Amino acid sequence: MYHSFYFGDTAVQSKSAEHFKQLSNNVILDTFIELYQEEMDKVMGS
Amino acid sequence: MIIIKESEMEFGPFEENEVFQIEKSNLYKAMTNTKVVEFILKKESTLLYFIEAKSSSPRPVPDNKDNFDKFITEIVEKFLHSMNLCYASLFKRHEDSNDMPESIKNIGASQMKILFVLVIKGHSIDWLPPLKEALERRLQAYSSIWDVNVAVLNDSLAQEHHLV
Repeated sequence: MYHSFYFGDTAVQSKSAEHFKQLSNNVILDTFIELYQEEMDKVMGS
Repeated sequence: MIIIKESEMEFGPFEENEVFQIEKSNLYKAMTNTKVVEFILKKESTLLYFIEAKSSSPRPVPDNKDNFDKFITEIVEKFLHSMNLCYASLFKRHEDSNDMPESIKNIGASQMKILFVLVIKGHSIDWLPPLKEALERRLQAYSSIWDVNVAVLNDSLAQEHHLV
């Protein structure tokens, strides 16, 4: 059985629940960081 | 050109007339019980960065709340005292000791846009939003009154924005 998760355009899939959890956390963290960087780009140039 | 060494980082190089090292200024030395940021940088024609540098910050976890709050209070005081001193200077309150660069004075109080920038060396990016949110909460009234914004960067983001 595969665990699947779509976060925006990114698909996360793994057979291992633990691996799936780790991958999902990484995807969310990467997106969180990306959004913060975009916010800082905007505010620094405002 | 000028390079400013603070909290194990090198800021700059900047044009000398675009930087006000408020901490080393006569204006600041003439004040009593006042806390100020490291320096003010004129970034665009009307935009000023008020830059405070730190080499670390307390973690915002429940058992460290007092240290975290104390840290935020210290930064907020530095930002607010610096902004007040800047406006006091523009309104010619301290002409005897006013050594703020002409390029900053010439912006004029009505045109001036202010961004409070905290730069923390070595912080992971995902540690920065809680600091930014805490500062924004504490500065909410002043942000709405004066239309100022807050940025919290680590040294790599500061590099991307040509600060270090």
